Amino acid sequence: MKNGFITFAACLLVACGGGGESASTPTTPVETPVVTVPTQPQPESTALKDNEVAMTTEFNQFATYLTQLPDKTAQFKGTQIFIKVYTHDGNALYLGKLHSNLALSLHLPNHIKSVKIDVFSSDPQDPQITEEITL
Amino acid sequence: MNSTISFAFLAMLAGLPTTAFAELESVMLRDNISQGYGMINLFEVHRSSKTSNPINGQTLQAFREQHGGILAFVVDVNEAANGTEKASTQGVAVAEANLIFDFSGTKITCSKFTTNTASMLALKGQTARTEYPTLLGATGSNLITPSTASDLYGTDFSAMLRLKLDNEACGVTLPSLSNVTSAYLEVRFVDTNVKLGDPEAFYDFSNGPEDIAIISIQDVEPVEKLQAGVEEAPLVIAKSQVTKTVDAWSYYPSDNNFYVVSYEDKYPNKGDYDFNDLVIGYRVGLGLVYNESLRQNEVTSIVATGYMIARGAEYTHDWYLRIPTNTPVSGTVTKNLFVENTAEQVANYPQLQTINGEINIQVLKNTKQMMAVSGSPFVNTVPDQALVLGKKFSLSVNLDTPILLSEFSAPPYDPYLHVIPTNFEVHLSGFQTQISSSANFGADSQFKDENGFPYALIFPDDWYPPYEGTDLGNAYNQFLNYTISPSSSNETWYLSPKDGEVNTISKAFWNW
Repeated sequence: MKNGFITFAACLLVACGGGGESASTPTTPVETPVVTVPTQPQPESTALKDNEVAMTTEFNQFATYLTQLPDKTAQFKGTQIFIKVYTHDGNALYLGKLHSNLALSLHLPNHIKSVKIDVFSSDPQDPQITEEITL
Repeated sequence: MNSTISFAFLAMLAGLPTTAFAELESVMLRDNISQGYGMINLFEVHRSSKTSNPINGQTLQAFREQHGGILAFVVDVNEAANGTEKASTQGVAVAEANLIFDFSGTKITCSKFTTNTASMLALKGQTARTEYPTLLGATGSNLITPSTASDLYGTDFSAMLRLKLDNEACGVTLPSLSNVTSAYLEVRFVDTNVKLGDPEAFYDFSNGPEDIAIISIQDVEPVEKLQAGVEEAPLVIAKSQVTKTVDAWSYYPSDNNFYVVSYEDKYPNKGDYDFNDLVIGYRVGLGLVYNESLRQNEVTSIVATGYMIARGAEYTHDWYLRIPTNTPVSGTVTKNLFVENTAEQVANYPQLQTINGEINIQVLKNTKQMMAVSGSPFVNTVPDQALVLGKKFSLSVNLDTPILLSEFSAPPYDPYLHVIPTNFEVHLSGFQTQISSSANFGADSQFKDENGFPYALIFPDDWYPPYEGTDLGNAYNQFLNYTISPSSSNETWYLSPKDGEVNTISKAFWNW
C-alpha cells in the first residue's frame, strides 16, 4: 500500500491531531462522551491507484448459499406442490414444484441475510404457507 | 392429399356440409382484448384478414361441427412487459370466457372454457394463490399453418382457448348456430397481484392488446406443436397438449435483478480504475426438471437476458458469457439481439449456435460498433452527454440431455471480454482463458494487476459506473474499506456514490 493505510493507522494509535468530525468542537455532553474508535484503520486515500491489496483479496459483493428447501409436502393434500423463494422486495429466486429433500443454491447481494418462501398447492383446500428463512 | 381436401373428405363421410368445411380457414377477428377485457363480435372480421367471406351463423356452426361440438379460438398474447416476460415468453391468465348467442331475442350464454396451461396466482390485493387457466405466447413465433390462406400463417397466434357448448356449459341444449343473429366472445383476464413479482407479474395484463382468431381444425396441430412461450414461462401447469414445461426456474441473481459486470480493458497493464470500459447487466435463469431416481434437480434449459449499460473505452471488444459445467454438455443456443427500445431484432438475428462440450457463447461482437455516440469514444461515461440506451440481448439454451444442477459452477459464471486491439482476454479473477488464439491464452487465471486489483468486477444492479477517469475508490469512498475489512456496516457501499463522480444511469433506464 502506498502507503496511506499504515500511516493513518499509526496516526490513530498515537492520537495525533488532524481533521475529522471527532476532532472538531464537541457537541455531545461532557458527562456522556462519545469516543469513536475505528475497529479497522482507514486509508487516507480511497483511490485504488494509491493503494495495494493482497493478491488473495476477494472482491465479492454477492454470497453463495446452499440450503435445503424445507420439506412441507406432508402438510398438503394437493398432488402438485409449489414453492416460491424470494427476497423481501418480492424478487423471485426459485419458483416451481417442491419435492422432498430439494437442494437450493442462492447467490445474493451480501446485505441480504434472509429470504421468504411461499408454499402452496393446486388443491383449493390447502393453505398457503409463508415463512422466512435466515441464511 | 392436402389438408383442405382431407377435411372435406371427412366432412363428406360425416354427412356434413362439405362446402362449409372445405372453405373454413382460421379468421382473425376485428375486436381484441384490451386492458384485460374483450367483447369480441364473432361476425366482424379484422380488416387485415385474408378471408373474403363474412362470418355468420352458418360459419360458426361449421366451426362448431369441425371441432366436435366446441368453438375454438387462438390468442396472440402481447404482454412482454412485467416480471420475466420477454419476447420469447409472455402470458396472461383467464378469469372468465363466455360465448353469448342471440337467437332472435333469446340469449344463451355458454361459460365453460379450457386452455392448455394454468398457473397458481394471487389476485390483486391478495397473497393466497389459486389455479387459473393461462394463455402463453411469444413474439416472433412465426406460426406455419398448412394453408397460407389462414390468417394465422406467419403470425404469433399461439394460445388455444376452447369454449364448450354442451348443456353444462350453456345451461340448455344449444340449437344449431346457423340461425344465430349475433354472437360474441367475452373474455376477462385475471387481475394479478403484480406486487408479488412472478408468477403474478408474468401473468398480468399490463400491456396488450391481444388479437384473437377463430381457429380451423387444421391449424390446431401446428399451434399446439409450437407451444410458443411455454418452455420459459414460470410456474406452468400443463393441462393438455403441453410437454415443454420445466418443474422450476432458479434465477440468478433474481428474476428481476441483474449482475452488473464492469471491466478495465488495458490488461495486462494497470488501468485507470474507472471500471467503465465496458459495463454489462445480465441475469441467468436455469430451467429445472426433477430427477425422481436421483432426487435432484437437473438443468434442461437456460435463459439469459442482459443489456449494454455503458462503454468507456477507445478499444472495442467482444463479450462472452460462459457457464462452466463439470460435465460436457450439448444442445442449441438461440441468440437474440434487439434494437434499442423495441422488440425488433437486429439484422441477422436470431442466430442459432450448436453447443458441443461447454456453454461458451459470444453474446456481443464489436461493442464499439454496437454502442456509439457520434464524435466520442465514450457512451454513458462522461458528464453532459445525453444518456444512450444500449442493446438488449437474450439467450435460450436447450440442452440435449438434462445435466445435474450440481454439475454447474456457481453464479455469476464467467462473463468475459476479448479486447480486440490487444487480443487479450479479461475474466473475473479465478477463471481460465478460453480463446486459443488470444494473447494470454493459458497464461493467466488471476486477472489481477500489480496492486492486487482485478480487471473485472461484479456489482448489484443499483451500482452506478464512475465517470471517465474517476477511480472507483474515489467514486465510492467506502469501496476500499469494505474490500479490506468487510462488515455488515458497509456492505451496501455501492449505494453511496460521491456526487458528481458517477453517471447515475439507473436500472429503470437501461433495463428498457
